[in-house]
Amino acid sequence: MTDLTNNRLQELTLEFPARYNQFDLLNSLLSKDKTTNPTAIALVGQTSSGKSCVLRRFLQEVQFSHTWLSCDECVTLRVLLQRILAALRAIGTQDPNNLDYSILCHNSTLFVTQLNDTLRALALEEAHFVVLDRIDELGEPYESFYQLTIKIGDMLRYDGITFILVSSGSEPRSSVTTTFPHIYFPPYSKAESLAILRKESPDSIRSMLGSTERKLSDLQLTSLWSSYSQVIIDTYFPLYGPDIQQLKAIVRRVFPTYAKPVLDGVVGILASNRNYHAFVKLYKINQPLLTSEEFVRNSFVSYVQGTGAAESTGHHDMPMYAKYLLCAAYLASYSKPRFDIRLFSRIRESRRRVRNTAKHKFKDKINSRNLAPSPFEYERLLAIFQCIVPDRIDSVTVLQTQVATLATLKLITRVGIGSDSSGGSSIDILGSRTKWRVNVSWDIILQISRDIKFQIENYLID
Amino acid sequence: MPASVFETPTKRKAVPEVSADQMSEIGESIEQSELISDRDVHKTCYVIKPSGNARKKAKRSHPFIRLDQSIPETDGHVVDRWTLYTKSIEKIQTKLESLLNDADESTLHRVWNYVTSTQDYRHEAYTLLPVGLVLAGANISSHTRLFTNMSKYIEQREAQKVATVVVTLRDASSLREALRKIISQLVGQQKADDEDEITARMKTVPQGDQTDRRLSYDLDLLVDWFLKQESVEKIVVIIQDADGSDGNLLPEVIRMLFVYRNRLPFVLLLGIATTLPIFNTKIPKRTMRMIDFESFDVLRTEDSLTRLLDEILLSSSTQLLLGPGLFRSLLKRYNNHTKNLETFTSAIQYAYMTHFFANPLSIILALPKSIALSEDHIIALRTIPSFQSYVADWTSKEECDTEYIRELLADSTSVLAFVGSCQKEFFEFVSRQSDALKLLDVLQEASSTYSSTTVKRTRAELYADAITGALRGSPIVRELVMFITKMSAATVDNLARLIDQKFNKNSVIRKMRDSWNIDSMNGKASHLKLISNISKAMQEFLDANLKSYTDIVFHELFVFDSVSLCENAFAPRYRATIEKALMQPSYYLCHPSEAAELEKPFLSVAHALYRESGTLINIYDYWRAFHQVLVVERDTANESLPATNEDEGAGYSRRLTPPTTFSESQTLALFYKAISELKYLGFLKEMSSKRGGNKNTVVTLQKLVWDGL
Repeated sequence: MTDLTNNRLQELTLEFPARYNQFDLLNSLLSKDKTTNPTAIALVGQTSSGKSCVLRRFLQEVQFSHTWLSCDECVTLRVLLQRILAALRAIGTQDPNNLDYSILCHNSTLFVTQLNDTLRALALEEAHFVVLDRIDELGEPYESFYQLTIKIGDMLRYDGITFILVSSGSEPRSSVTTTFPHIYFPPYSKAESLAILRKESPDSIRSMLGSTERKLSDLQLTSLWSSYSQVIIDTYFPLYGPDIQQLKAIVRRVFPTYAKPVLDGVVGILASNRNYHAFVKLYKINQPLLTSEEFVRNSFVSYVQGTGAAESTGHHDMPMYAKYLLCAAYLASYSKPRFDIRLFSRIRESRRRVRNTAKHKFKDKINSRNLAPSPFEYERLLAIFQCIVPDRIDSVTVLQTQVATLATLKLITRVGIGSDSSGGSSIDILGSRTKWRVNVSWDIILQISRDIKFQIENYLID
Repeated sequence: MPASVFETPTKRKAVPEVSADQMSEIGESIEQSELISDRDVHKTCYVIKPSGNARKKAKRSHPFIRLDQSIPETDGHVVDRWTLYTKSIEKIQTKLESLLNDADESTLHRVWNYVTSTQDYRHEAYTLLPVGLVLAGANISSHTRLFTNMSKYIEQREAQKVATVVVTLRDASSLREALRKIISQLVGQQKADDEDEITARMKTVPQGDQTDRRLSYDLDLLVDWFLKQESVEKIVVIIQDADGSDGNLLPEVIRMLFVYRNRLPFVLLLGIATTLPIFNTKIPKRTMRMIDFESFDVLRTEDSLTRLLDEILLSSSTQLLLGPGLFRSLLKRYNNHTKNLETFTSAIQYAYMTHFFANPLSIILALPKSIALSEDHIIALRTIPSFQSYVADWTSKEECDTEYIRELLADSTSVLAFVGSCQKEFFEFVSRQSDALKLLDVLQEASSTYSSTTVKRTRAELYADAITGALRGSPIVRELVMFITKMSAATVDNLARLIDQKFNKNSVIRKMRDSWNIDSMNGKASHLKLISNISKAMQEFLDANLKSYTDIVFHELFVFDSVSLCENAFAPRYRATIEKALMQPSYYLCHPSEAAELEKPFLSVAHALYRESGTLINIYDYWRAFHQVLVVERDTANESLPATNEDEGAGYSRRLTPPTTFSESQTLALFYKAISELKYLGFLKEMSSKRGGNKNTVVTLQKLVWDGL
């Protein structure tokens, strides 16, 4: 017995393109009858492939009693367990929003016991669904809990409860072989993504533009929007793939700027998609918009420069020797100690050519910049530092404070003994036993070395 | 033991009588006259009671002492010096405070604007978490002040509407701790223990008969709290050390706040000590997509440094000038090491302190108020080099007024009057320097539009050269005067406008500028005449004002320039010192003339061998070498100095002099002692290594300290 007719399913598919199969599966798997439901089903698929919204829409349509829990809000599993129980205990009470948080489960055994108690008290007539949305984003490892929800049916003495696990990550290995219903949400294709983007209603498009002097009719707006969606999909689909949410965000961000020429009257109104001339003109105006990275916002820097705001460097510079120290740390991490004499010594003899055997060449084929930085001793850092600074520094104290500052800023990190996360004082951080490692990438080191006019390339063997 | 040691206040405080009595039960108290003799050697502790008339313990409210060794002073003089010091320091402190606050003010204002301008969280378009990136500079120590101020500032402006919380992630090891901090500070409950079991109990929320056992890091607690607050519209979370946090913590915190964005109106402010590009590498792109950001630059510190120079070092109330050497060293330290205005001013404070503490003549600075100088002060004044050379110059002149000189040398009142006039000259000098530096600044600014190639030098950079007179006729001044002669009419206007801005009406330069009559100028000839006039006037002004401070008689009283004192206090060279002590023990142990006779301590011998060896030292080889050195040295010593050991007077050296020859077991013991001391100093580390196929472990020592760093 299914709750939705085929016609209704077709209607829903209009709302959610390319999701007919998923609705159909949900419809056939779940029902109000508590005896026929599985104890758990999983909805899997990539991020933003419509899992949550399809499920939400379905539950709304069929009017099943359900509890929706977002796992990404829970820092630990205990919070999640507490919320599940609290939500279940609130079923049927006068005030469903007044949740009772008096139970705290420390482990899954306790949880099962408490769940049993709760279910007995509830004595469910109809099936109840607990949706665990984004279970893969729970703050803690969730594999064991995942396993538990699948098998919980065997442990419960009262039926009527079904867990719906929504996950965008890969399934835990241990549960791959267990048999319980899965509904797979394949990623949207380019055409499907376009169809979804085009579904925007004229009102919401209008609200994106804000208040404008020139009013466009619904038809004009949809026409503009549809050509615009095509442009955006063609531009950004290769970059973001089927990540609909990301595409939507970009669409919203770019649209006001994109539509400006139309609103200003520079470009004629696009009455239909056939008005190629107007479209080409609009596209030409907006070409820089689509090639710049300003709207992608992958980085703080390009955004800042794009808006012409204050340049990021120069104002808040580190002290000069901190920069030298950072360069020295980079050199210490990325050049091997056996080259030290060759690179840093001023003795002529030591600069003689070292025979480079073919074996070596083969070994060093991977560019060391692409490898993880290797740890170095504090003494070596100081030695390299003294080699590269223009004038001699006698006082180690001031250098040590700077090393400490760099360590606090996590520009260099401690490795080995005592590299605890809290930076605790369990070990003398300036002691000679601890090893260090640079934590800054090549681009930034290059920038810093340019600031202090230091040719760092001269000291690297690539 | 010299008696003067007991005069220092610290000693007097360190041995109060009560404790002395208690101590005497353990060890026998000895009179000062009885020095430690051989029979006391076995005792574990000694109490030394100064004999004779114990000085009256005058209750003093200040830590300054009488400098009787140089000039016999009265207590009044000491108090005078102390009050002079406190007054001048107070002035500096208040100025600094206002300076730092002003620097922050504009940033705070912009941040506040940003916070209030963020969208309402219920709005449809509110999809991203608003984040303000505050670029606060690498000077971490000032961050706490800045962000506390920021929190206060926002709360004051937006009374009740905004709840702020300042957290540091450095001491939070996990997301849970970070969230707990945020929640507990906002909800205002007591900080829960580290145990997770202890759950939050919200005093503000009546729970009825249900108990709330939610965990203290559950953001739902904050949601409940927020629903109860009627007035709060924004929750500002300030993370003070955004780039100091570990690995994934900050992105996790951002993610949690992002998840709750539709229920809690968060605005996140991140304090960044590095630069944006560096910070950028620490934030994953995934997190970047959750946020909507804007960056704020805290005011440049270079501007603050110029203001500091104007208002503290070269202001009209300056009594003591920082000498060029000291200032250069401070500036170098600032640029190279700290970039911290607070350390800069504390160094200034130290300089003032040293001057007033150690220089008995510093009471002169109280002039023109009458001061009670003793005859010794006057005599000391006459010994000051600049005064002596002044007198020498005067007398070497052909027509010399010997009466005047005689008066200065004989009569105390005339000397004082002369000091007073010198001080006036000094004040004049300070204000002239200040004007000249400002003028150079203005000229540079005016010329910067003209030629962009020259790098502008700030007043702080020019200061040291200016007060030594090195700027007079220097390339930069010549260039600027040259620039004036090439000025166009527009540039003249610009220059005039800048002068109007920077100088107040009564200043000399302003009067000079008023005499130009720019408005009445027309035609090329008059323009040329005008600019030649201007350049001549400027040249004259700069030549007249960029004088050296050494031209002032008694400048030693008004200018403090002890570089080594400040450098030793702020940047000690302990590493070099230890190395020197080990390499050349005679430097510290005896007079240079006896250096050749000194026997090297065993530690030093071990260190010498240590320096000669490679990274890994085989412990047996090390000992053999040590033994060899000792035996050979001893033999040669015995040959060359047979008489020393029989010398009865050298009691101390005899006791410490080891037997004439060493057995192997003796050197071994000495060797162990020496290397364990080296280990304690951090030079060595033990390690056992298995080399090759050899099953026996070889005990080696690893070198940890590199030479000459």
